[in-house]
Amino acid sequence: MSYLKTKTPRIREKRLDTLNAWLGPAKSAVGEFAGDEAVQRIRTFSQSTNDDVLHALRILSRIENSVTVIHAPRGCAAGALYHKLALGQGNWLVTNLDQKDTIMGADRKLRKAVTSAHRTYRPEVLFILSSPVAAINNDDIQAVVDELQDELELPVIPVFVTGFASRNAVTGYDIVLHSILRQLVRGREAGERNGRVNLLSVTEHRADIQEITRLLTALGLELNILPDHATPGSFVQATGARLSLSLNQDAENYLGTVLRDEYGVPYQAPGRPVGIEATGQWLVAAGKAAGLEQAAAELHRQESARIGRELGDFSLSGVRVYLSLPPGMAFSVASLVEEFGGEIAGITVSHLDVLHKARLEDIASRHPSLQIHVADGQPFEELNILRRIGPDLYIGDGNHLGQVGRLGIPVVSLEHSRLLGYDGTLILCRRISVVLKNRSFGQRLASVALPYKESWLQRSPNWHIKKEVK
Amino acid sequence: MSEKQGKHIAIYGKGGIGKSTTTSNISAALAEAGYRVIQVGCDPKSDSTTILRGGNDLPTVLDTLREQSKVRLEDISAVGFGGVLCIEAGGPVPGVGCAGRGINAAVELLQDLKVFEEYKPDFVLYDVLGDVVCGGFAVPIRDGIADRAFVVTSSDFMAVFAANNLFKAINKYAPSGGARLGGVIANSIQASYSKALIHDFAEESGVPVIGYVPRSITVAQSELYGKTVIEALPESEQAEVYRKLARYIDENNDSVIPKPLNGPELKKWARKWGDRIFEVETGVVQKMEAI
Repeated sequence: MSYLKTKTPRIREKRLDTLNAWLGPAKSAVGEFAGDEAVQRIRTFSQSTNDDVLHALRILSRIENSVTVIHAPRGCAAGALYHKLALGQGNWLVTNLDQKDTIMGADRKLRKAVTSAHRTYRPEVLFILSSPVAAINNDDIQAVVDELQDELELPVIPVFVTGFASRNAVTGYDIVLHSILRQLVRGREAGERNGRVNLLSVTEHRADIQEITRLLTALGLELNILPDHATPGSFVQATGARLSLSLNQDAENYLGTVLRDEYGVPYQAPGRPVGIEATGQWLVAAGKAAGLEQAAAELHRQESARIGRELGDFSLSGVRVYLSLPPGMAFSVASLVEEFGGEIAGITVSHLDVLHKARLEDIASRHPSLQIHVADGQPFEELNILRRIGPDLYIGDGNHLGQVGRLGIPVVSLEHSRLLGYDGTLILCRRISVVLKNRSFGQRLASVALPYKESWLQRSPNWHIKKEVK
Repeated sequence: MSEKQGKHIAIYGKGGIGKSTTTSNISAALAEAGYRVIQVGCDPKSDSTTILRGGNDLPTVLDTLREQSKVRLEDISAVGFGGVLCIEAGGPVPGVGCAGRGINAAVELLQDLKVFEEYKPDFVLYDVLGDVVCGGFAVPIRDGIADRAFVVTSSDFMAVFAANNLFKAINKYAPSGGARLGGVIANSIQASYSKALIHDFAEESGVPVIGYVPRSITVAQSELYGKTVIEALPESEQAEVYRKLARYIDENNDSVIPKPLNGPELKKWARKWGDRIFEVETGVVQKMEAI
């Protein structure tokens, strides 16, 4: 049965049992995924959160020679604006749906926007990103696609995000990847076997990709990197690759799974290469899958010796670290912290699902009481936890790092920061060193009061997380 | 994810025109002929399948979704006459929400529950509310859910008007993978001119009439018993009319893209028939080739 028959993939909750609200010890988190289906929790109050539209834009903004027409009221383009302004990525237009469009339908407006985007940017591929308004309105995007695809002579790919079908923003990654595969490779025979390795990368730092590329090409592997910085041809080529290698399962698991199940491309997801040990394991697993295990082990010996010298006596011994990151990243940074002798004080992850079962089991076997918090954009819950735990260091990538700083906790931000491979490890360790040594900024921030009333913070951190009773 | 099993057919028409009665009788006739049939009522009134299941209560998909986070097939379906699996999509509380999206959600749930893979129907009949009032109600013909649509109409102008609107929707969506039109089912044929009027409208629109269902007391009688005509009065002539429709749907896979009349054309057409009917009723004698 083909994954690509339907307009959209199954939402994360149904495909991977993904939870977006949860708090409890690691041993109980393991239990959540022991049965047939994880019990979903709801948040009776949510401070902020991402949605699938934002996550979809993240991938789309990084497809080479592309333009995205956002079929939405103008506010929905804010995410695209961020990518363009902050990162200089992604050409886009918004159809600026208004009151009249919601009543009369906006097919004509969409057609005009697509034609205009094509004329302005002359892209190699054009995306139409749906939105909550277009979804509720049932605008017939497919008809516009069918009509203009032939006329413009380029792939026009509709991406049917709704902003509400799933509680988990990561569903947006699946929808984009599904849409691209459905439009570009569905129904085709697997591409000619080309001996390349698909390096699956979503929203990684460019320098991190360079580091991984350096390592894999040193083994003699030829890479096809996607979806980041890919062209339509990269996806077609991916179906004939010898192997798909994951850098971050949370984001690209769907791509690896479909390429494996529909085109027979083996999919390897050996965690994330973060820290010296884990990078070595990742590299050896990649080498083994490509029949180059010895060479990978040798490369690891050389690289780890080099980084060991560079790091000198860097140690996190006696440092209790709190992590607030997407799950794949959180678990990999947790390994790095432990590798250098640190202690994990607690973890907040944006979601949790069956992909993390093995990591959870590993953590639970060593630290059964370690608190796991599942929250995307809930700073007040996190601050509540941090006040109780009082860690020595906080590593996160959220928008609320300033608030964490007001607790007097040294903060390392991983947003737009390098992390992967040997060099990424070196850079992260150096940043940690600096933050732990230079505390004056943190001490100054600590004199600023938190934005929450004390009565709020007196409540238990899971006050708003409830089991659905119906 | 759903693989399509069996023929998926949407039956549209103006509210109150006899869609549910016609659909249920076709379902019953198909079941009687030995086929596995699912009938999905896509109407917030949720009374599509009533006469297939003796008038017993059946929770709608949307009511069940509102009450339970986990829905099983047995919560939202009942087995009716001849083993027809009856499902009612239902709708939001009157006055709020969007019934069109409700139909969408209900069909998605059925696909999620793998109803079609597991039940392996030969036919799935979607009985869809009235006119194409918005994008939501067009979903069964638009998103590849149904392969063919049939339109039920009487000779009342408003029913013809609604049928013409549906032709417009099919005409718009069929080229991009939407359902095509199987034909028109002429219902409640009573007046002397009814057959000719519907025949003429269909011809103007380039679509076939697949059957004429006469107005009959047997239909009212069977409905009062809470049954289809096929079940209550299987030997009746009316039952044979429905069987003939069912046979057509079973044996014939033809479909067309209709040519709907535009505003002035429809007005002109209606005026022509207004004149003719007046002449027939008042006894004006002249050449009446169409009647």
